[in-house]
Amino acid sequence: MAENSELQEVKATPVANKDSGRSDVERTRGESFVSPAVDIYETEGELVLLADVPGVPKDGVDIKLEDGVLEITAHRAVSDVKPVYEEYRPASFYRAFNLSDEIDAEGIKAGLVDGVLTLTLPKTPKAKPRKIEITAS
Amino acid sequence: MELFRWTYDPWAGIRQLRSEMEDAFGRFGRAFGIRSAVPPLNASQDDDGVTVTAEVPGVTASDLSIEAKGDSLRITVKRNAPEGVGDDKYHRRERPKGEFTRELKLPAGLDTEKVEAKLSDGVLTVRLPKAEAAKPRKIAIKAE
Repeated sequence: MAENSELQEVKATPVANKDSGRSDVERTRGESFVSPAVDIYETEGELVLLADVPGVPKDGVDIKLEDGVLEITAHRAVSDVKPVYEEYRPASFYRAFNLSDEIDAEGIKAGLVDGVLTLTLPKTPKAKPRKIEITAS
Repeated sequence: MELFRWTYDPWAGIRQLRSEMEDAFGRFGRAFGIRSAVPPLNASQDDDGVTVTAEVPGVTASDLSIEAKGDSLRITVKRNAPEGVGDDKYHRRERPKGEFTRELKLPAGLDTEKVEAKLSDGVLTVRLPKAEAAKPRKIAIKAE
């Protein structure tokens, strides 16, 4: 595990009943949140984050970047069905990370496929390894 | 065939097992959304049958295998890790990878021949309808 993480976790505890600020989301109960499982890995040019957010439709994801904090909120539809056996609560997802300035915030891309959110965070040019040519003198 | 059917909760057994497991992990794990079993399952019942849902993000139909036989439902899922990424490149690794199988005991009276499954946004929904014989039949009262 790299010592110098470009993505540092903020607020490791889940935020209960967080007011997500969305007025178009109808709720009969307060929305509850859990932290999604994530994989974060590094390539030469970028950091890639994969988050498990099953049950979240394409328009349910909010990604906000403010003051160097990357906030991921994924809203899940509330179902009225009361389960007779329950191992998971279909809660919405929330997780936040500190972005170091080695990430080019303008270039962040996001995609959602089969309940997995993928974020690619490109490194700024200065963070990329540079080959130094040796010139003959 | 029995004349009388005891009313009992067919889900009580697995719930008991689950609560014993959860005590071991504690509330801490649950608040973090850490699932103690993969894939996590929910089951609901209505007059026409049983619905089982499983969280299986990042899989396609070919990564799943569903078997309904007799009184049990077996779900196997293969969760794939990102391709071509060396172990040393990870900063965080929380998502499950590998093959997982769950088996659920079903209540009696379901028609396992008519099971339907659908996959959407990483959630698998399996519908097991009640067998015709098990559905309540209205009995007409003949006037004498």
